[in-house]
Amino acid sequence: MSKSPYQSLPAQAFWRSAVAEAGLFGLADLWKSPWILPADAVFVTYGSCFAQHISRALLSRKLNWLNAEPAPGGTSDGLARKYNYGIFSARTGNIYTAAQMLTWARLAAGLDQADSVELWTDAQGYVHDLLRPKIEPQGFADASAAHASVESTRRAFLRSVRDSDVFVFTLGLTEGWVNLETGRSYAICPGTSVGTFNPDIHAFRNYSYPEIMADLETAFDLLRGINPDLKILLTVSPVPLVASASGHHVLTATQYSKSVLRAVAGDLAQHAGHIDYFPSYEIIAAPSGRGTFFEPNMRSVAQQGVDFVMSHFFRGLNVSGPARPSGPDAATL
Amino acid sequence: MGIDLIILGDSHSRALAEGARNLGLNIRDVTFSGALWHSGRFRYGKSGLVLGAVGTANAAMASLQKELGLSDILKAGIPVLTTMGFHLGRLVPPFGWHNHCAEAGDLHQYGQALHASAGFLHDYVDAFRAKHLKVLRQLSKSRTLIVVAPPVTFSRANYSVFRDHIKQRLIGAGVTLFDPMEDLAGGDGVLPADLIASDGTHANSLYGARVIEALQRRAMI
Repeated sequence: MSKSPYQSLPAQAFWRSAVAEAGLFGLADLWKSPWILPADAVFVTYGSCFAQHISRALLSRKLNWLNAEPAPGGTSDGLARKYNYGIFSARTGNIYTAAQMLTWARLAAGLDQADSVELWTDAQGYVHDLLRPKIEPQGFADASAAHASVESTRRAFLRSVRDSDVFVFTLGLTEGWVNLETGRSYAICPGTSVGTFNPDIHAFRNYSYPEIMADLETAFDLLRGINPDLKILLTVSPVPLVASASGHHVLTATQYSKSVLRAVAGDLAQHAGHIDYFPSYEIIAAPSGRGTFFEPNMRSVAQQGVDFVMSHFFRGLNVSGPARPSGPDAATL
Repeated sequence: MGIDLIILGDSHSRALAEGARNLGLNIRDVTFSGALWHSGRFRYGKSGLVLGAVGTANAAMASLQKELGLSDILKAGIPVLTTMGFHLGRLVPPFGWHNHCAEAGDLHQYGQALHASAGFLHDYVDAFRAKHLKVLRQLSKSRTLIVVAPPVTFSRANYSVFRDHIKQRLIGAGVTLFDPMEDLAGGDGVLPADLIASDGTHANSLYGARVIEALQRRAMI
């Protein structure tokens, strides 16, 4: 009589030994990178707000994080942050949805032009681009300046894809808004601090698994068309939704959203050697976390949680490959 | 013979001083490097402009104060020309280290350029020139101070944007400003070659004389 296949599984396969008995701080082997990266591997980071922690952690470990759109020389850290320099590898602002990711990939690939990005002028006459609605504290002086800024970020995004080894992308939301006339997706709902809501033009979308999968596959194909060696590391933000327009309770809407994103990320990673998934979502949001790392609002992730996530990241990251003879392009770092 | 004019500022003041002397004016000048102006080696105090450690200019200032019998040189009733506040050579190159251009139109001149917004430019200038603007506003209460904008001796990215921006900020602060380029610019907006010093960056004494004459025509000095 043959043994049950479970009898030969390692301890990590069992909840009791791997989670219940290990406890939150005893969790081990949650992730192991399938890639042996060169010691001088170049990382770029994009996505929802949680992604910004990864860049800081990479820099603190003296790993190569590429900032393709740095602030002008001599800029203080405070001023750079005010204008959203150095948060992501280019000044994209938060990329919450797969549809937005596809927008940036199309811009980088030259399929769309910067001047295709929708603009909005506020009551004071300042112009905002609706792909990065909060990128400037005040807005741009005019439309040409706004489009010039989008073009700058497009160039930087392209360079970051071209000159990096690992593209880290944090998936944030399934919910978004689109323009029914142009088909373009918005970073935030028009009328939410930036833009004017028009119910005849602006429509809510809760992107489904197939839609997200299709958008990401297309986006990553475009990025790999620019850099065929590019590896893509996906994460899902553990930060719950601020609000849901789905009609469901925000708690269930959050779980739906994160579940879909997690499933897409997992399937992408399972079926492509150049895509992997790092479980930042689970580390913070799974029952083992007991909400330990959430702030009192039960939404924001405390710095200790970020540090904990990144400790697992660095434990599983493998940068033991030999550095390239010429190293990464120093001028790009 | 009384003092006709006091000149205070950075390396661009030298052409003004030489030009004024060539016109026969009795001047006194206190000048030191734009790098030291840039780094803020000055403040406004009870006795007007107070200089930090700025090399030989400290002795020149002390000598002038003694000659005037005043600690505040702006209270002597003598016109004071200054090139203080711009120091573009210290401000503009770092801004462009990562290929940033402040003019949206410059973005398309080459493929690696990045645009920085007008709002960012305002805050960037504030970070390095807020003190200068504040002190110049305080010094302007004397009604004898005239800020002379620097000559445009070349056409390079960002210089004209920064120059114009600081000019507008000074005017907005109520400072009396004279822009020599209004009278002296060639068709390309740059100073004619015969008014440029051999270093290609500064103007020469002929330029200085022309500026003084322009100010005299306007009865500003």
